[in-house]
Amino acid sequence: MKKQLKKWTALLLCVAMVFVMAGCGNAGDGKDDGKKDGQKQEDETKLTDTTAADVDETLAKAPHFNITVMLGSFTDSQGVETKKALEYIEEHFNVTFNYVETSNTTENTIAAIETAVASDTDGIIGACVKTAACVQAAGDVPMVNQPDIGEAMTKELAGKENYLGSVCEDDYAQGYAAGKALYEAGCRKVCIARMTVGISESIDNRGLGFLDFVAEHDDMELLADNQSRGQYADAVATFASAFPEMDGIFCVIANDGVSQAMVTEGLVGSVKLATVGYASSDKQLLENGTLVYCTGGKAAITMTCFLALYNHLLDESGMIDGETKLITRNSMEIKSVEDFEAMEKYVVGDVPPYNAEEMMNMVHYFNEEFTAGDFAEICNNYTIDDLMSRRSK
Amino acid sequence: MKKGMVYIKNLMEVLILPIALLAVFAVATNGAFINSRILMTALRQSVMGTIVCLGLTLNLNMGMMNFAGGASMICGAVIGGNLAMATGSGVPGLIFFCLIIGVGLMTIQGGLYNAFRVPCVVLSLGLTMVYEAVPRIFYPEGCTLPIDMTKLALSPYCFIIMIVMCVAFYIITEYTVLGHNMKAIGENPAIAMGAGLNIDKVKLMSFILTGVFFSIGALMYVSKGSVDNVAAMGSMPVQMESFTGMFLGKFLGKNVNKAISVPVGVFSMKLLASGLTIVGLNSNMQTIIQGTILLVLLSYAANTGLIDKIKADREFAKMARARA
Amino acid sequence: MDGKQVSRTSEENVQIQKQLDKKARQKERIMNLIPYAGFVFVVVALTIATGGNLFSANNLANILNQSFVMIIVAVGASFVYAHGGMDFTVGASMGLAEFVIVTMILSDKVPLAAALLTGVLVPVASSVGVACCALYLKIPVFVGSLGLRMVLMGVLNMVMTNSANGQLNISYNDYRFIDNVAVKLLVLVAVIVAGYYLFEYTGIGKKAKIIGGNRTVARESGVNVSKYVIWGYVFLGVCVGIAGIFSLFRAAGVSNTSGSGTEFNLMTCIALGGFPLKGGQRSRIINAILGAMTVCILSNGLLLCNLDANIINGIKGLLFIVIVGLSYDRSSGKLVS
Repeated sequence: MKKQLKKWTALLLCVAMVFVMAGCGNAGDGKDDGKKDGQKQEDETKLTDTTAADVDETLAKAPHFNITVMLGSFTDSQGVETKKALEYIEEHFNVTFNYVETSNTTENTIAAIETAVASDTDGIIGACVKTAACVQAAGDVPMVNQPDIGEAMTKELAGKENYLGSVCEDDYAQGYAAGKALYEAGCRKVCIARMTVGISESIDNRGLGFLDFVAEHDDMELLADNQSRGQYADAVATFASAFPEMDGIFCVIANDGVSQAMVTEGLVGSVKLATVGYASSDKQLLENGTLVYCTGGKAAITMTCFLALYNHLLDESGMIDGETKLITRNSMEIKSVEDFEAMEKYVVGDVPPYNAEEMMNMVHYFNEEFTAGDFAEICNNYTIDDLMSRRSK
Repeated sequence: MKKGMVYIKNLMEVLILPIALLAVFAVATNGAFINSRILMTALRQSVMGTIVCLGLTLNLNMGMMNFAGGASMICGAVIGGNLAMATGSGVPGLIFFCLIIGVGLMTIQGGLYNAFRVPCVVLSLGLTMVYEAVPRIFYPEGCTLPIDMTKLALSPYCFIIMIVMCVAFYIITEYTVLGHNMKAIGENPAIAMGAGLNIDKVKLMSFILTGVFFSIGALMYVSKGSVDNVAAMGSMPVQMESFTGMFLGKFLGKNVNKAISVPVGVFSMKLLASGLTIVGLNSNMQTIIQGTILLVLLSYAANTGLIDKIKADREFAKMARARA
Repeated sequence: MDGKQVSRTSEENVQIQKQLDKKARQKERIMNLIPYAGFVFVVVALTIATGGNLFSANNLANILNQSFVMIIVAVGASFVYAHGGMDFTVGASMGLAEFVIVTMILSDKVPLAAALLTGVLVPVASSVGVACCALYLKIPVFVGSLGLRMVLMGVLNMVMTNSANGQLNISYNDYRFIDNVAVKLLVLVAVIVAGYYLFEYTGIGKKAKIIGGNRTVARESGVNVSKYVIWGYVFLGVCVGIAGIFSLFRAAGVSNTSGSGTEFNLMTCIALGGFPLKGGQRSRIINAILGAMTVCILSNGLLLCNLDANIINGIKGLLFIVIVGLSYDRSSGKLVS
């Protein structure tokens, strides 16, 4: 037995040595291969944080707040971008964030909110809030919600002072715009890959927007509607094999797997793709004309929630006005390589869509002339061009 | 000759399911389903599930149900993929790092299992949470490979890998002392121990071998392009997806080696999913139909011979009455 | 040992036997206390880590609310796990039960009590379905319940998508009299007392343990195996139905993710409390309840510690392994599977 064990160990070590040598041998050539497609050197194009010292000084004078941020996931592409933006805010503002991941069940969301309240949080930025009970669970702790909770629930919560309102993007419009982009690119036979309906309202609305666009156009046909969470790349492969006549795909979530499935299934050149969100490999697909629509910069939603909450905490300024208590932000649409490069430079870097100085000017405590109307206008103006013009000043 | 005929008959029993599915969907789609691209896509989609199931089967052969497969695969995929990119070692490096991590994780599980003497199900539930958290600490954004590192997910490489792993499984379970020891322990651990088998050692080796299979599963998973981290048992669906195919293969192919029946079972489930998508059924109906087919087939497999048994019992009762 | 025969008087034999019995009783007492050690360890560790916040008045109410569902389901699950069964349909059947109740409430045609009763029948039917698959169709319970789970999840997703695009809400304020700490405490105590009595002092629980110990022996001893297996699943279904009712009114709505993950949480609770997954004589309902409380306090406490989202589940897993390693029954030794 000992001899056999020695034999196996020797064999394993040999194999390991071969791989290490292969790896070292490839190291010189492979380093470029190791880069993600579309990724540039960080020091070349991404913005660095150049916040003025006086801005930081002013921000440090504000009282300190503990804020709980609840998101479905901090590890998917939107979650990573959002967390990065929040870490930027923590660096400059006198706040501490507590990050809580909630699964998509209401029960777990309520439990997380209750526990946050018990840990003396000053405010909650919530996601996955689907029912009034979630807002009720926050008690007196002010809360800004991320998805829209709908008219009926907003009415039920009228008079609840801790509920400050909701911030979202118009996911339905994004799905509709994706359908339009595919139509304008000549696609008439399309498939949709989406999540199981009911898990996330905002993602469901993307699908609804797209399906409504297809339904409104008689010359457009929906070949397949696949609803399987997380298996979008497999869905693309199935569409490709089953529907040779397909010329367009809409995926509700952007994903490197989907982008790469387009390449590996040989769909580049014959099938167009539209997604909501973006993946790092999308630049290549934009260059060859496969990707006709995607969106980015969604970290701004959570940043807006923070600003609305922060305004309330400092001097009870209400930034989400009106009966609906809803701000629907404009989304950052990406339709060309230039748009993508601009997004990579101005959004996915050390500086998020709003820098410290801009955010300071959006807080009534520091800028007494700032109003809810200005807040809404800033949210409406959010586009890649707006971002570029702000950064070029 | 007779042995050969018996073997062919047993093989046909396993293949009846995918053949039946092909026939049904061919009729439902007016022949459009009989398309090499559809079959190759379903086969390609079943590669990862097959390899993971074969790994789980090694544990299951000894009565151990391991829920940590999905989590260890995701951990191996994320960390292995990122290390391969960081070292610039390309595909060989990807294979190496996935193997090291997968085998390492399962070795830890085997060691803890032997040390704590708690059921594998229980231990694997705890380790699932730990293995899901580990890649989040080092690589919270997951792993995205460049296109030139994703060759292994394409044909013919993925099929070569699947065949190699199936052959390896066959050889391990049929032609090695370790494989026979695992079967003996699975049948009756007390007698196996009494016969002098070192149960701890055999179980540890089975975990290590399972780790090899999970590593290759991780390799296939990350070679699809990107892997996101998960939390709160989010790796369960990755594993559960393969479970149904595995049990189907196990019960339909009672008389053939699992190296054949498990891939056929997993492939059948993928074929079913593709067929239902093409026919236009929504995903919810697909899930209901998949669950129903699983129950129907398993009850058929569990009750074959029931009618013969009832007839034989009646004959026996008749004889006993006649004698009385 | 040296080949010589040792002769003892009968009195010496009796003394030796008494000593052995005493040691066995001491060991039994220690074994009975070990599951509590895990619970105490978690409570003490988290009390220190949260600076006493774990037992603030506010948080005690939270612990009750958050552990209510799992404790009720664990009480019911004891009857099933005691005879070596399991049920993966609890999550989907809970969601379906909630859907049925909400639909009836929103129709305004059905009295509340009737809606609740109908809702409870849904998980009972599903659990009995699992039992029938195992008993009459001879499908192994693990796979049978997985298959039925797929069917129920598909049905739940379909009805939710068709009826309300994934979410059906009721007015939170109208049903606050149900989602109320006092009511929950009463129901919890009633369910635990009833469950404990049935499990430990009646034939239902005792027969379930005998079946879990050795099914063949139980059958040959005259135990009606099918009857008691089905009764176990019926109790589980009733408990899941009750838990579903309170979960619905706490959330004031149902979605197609309602109840999701309950089956794995349940397994975690059962394992953490030291309840043997294969059942048998060592099954104690108090272990299942302890396990449910431990899991919920662990989740609550780790959130209170404000740990990074990336590591919170990892720490939970590590603590789980430590507690199970300390408290699980090791009597099967190397023969554990």
